[in-house]
Amino acid sequence: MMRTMAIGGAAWKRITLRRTLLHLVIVWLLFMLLYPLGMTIWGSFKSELGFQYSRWYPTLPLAWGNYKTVFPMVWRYIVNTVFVAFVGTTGNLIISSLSAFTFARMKFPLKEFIYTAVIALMMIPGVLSLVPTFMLYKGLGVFDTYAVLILPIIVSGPIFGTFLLRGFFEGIPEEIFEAARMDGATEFKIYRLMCLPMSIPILGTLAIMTIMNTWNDILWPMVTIKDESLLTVSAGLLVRFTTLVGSNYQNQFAGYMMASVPLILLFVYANKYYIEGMAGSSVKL
Amino acid sequence: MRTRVQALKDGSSGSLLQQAWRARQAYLFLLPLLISIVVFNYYPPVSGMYHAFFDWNLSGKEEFIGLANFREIFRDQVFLDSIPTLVILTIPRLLIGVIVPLIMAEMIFAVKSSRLKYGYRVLILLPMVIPGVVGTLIWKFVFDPSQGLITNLARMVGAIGDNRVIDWLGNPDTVIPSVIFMGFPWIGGTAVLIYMAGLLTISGEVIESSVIDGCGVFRRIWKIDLPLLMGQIRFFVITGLIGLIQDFGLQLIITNGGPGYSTYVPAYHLYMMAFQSGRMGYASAIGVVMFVFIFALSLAAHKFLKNNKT
Repeated sequence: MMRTMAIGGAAWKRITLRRTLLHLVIVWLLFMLLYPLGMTIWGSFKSELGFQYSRWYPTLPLAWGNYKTVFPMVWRYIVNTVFVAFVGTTGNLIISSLSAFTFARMKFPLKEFIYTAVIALMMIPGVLSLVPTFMLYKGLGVFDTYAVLILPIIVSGPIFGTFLLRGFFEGIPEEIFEAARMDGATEFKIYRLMCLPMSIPILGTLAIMTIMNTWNDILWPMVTIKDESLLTVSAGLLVRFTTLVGSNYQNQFAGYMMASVPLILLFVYANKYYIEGMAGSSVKL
Repeated sequence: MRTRVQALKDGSSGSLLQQAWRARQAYLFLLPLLISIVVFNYYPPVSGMYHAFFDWNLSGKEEFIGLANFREIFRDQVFLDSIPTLVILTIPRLLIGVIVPLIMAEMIFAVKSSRLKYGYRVLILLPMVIPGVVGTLIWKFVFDPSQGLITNLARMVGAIGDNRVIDWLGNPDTVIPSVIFMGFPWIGGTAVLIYMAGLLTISGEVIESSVIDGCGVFRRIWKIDLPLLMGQIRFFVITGLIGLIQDFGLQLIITNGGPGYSTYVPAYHLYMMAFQSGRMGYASAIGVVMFVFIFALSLAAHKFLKNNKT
């Protein structure tokens, strides 16, 4: 307070100028970052003529027709992705949380050895395992089914999931669990009735990450699914939709936006948790 | 009940086998994870290294051919030519990925109003609402030869004639700079948040006293912020390097490695060999070579950055 008062008028002006400049730079960068996204959004609401003449800025009226045109082409991919993400994420959360609970709260021989063996897998690059993993699933005969999309989320997701959750579970005070054990609660009961309810935020973070990964995956569905009605959103848009809709940009954009609707909902609902979760995180090496 | 609790708690009495038997419930809880890990995550890389020595095809035929795959890799002109392309693509993208979010994080960190600070962070994350493939496809439109943003901007400032059409992504001379430019201004929302989390650990007092000592903002960033953010920077350099070397999303979505072979990278070559030519053994061998390279590089990067710590 004292210092602020001691600053003279000229210096104060200079500080204000600098702050204004800072905001201008940030806003300008954000504008450039978001402009392509904006262009896609308003482009998807333009008629063919409107797109020809005014594609660089939004105009009224909104041409909903583009969305009507593309709906039959993309709804199937959205439904598939929601289903795959839901089943996969549920499985991932169950295995990850049970394993992380065991590592965080129970004592048994070889604990740290097993844990290291799990975490070490995060260091294996995808290029080494892509081909043999493909052949493994091919051998299982699950190509062209939902199983080939869901199974990897459940069996490979828990590597990172266990790592993420263990740290959080270890932060819960041991006394709470100790008291429950004294009352004769089994370990499984402690896990299900105490540990899980206390860990909703971190479970939510893991769920968001898993859903996003499913939404963004192109490669795996592309190589394992030949039946186009089973494709998930990203692969469906790339291999089928772009050829189906042709060079009509306003329809393409409508398809892109429609495929994003569930993610937009997730963002509106969860961006707060994500920002707060990241603010408290310490990702570093 | 009491004895079980006690045993679980100190877990140190009896032989190792006795301890293991007493803790059998823990192993039971871990069973789903352990099966997944062994079958679906340890088996494939081992199988990949094994099959790198085989002529292995889609139908599952496998025939031992010794080092033939590896000998072929180092004579494979497409693979050899893809290495310089990878270097040219990786270095600028890595630098951008490490530095740009840091600058943005410092700028948002300097904002005084906490409401604006929060608002900026939400806006930075906004591009997350569209799937990555869509983000890339939008940039394909930005580079559209006649209708795209870049061509029209160039026309507007008079750099090219009003009816000039430039095939940015279809010309070997322009494709590499265009691809690097994609995503401008390259602000990764999550990376900004991670840097900001690091900046928030710097106590207000340190910043306050640096101001009183007449230390300018840039001096403070150089002397205080950067050393404190070394952990985050190391994280982005190493994960960025590993990720970029294996990345072929751009090739898959937009360029198909072209025009010609001008955007071919080793990982895309692996993909094409496996899924277009069905040469699983050869692709596995490329995978092994890349794995060895990535492993060595990340060890070196880790060491180098660790020495630079102080």
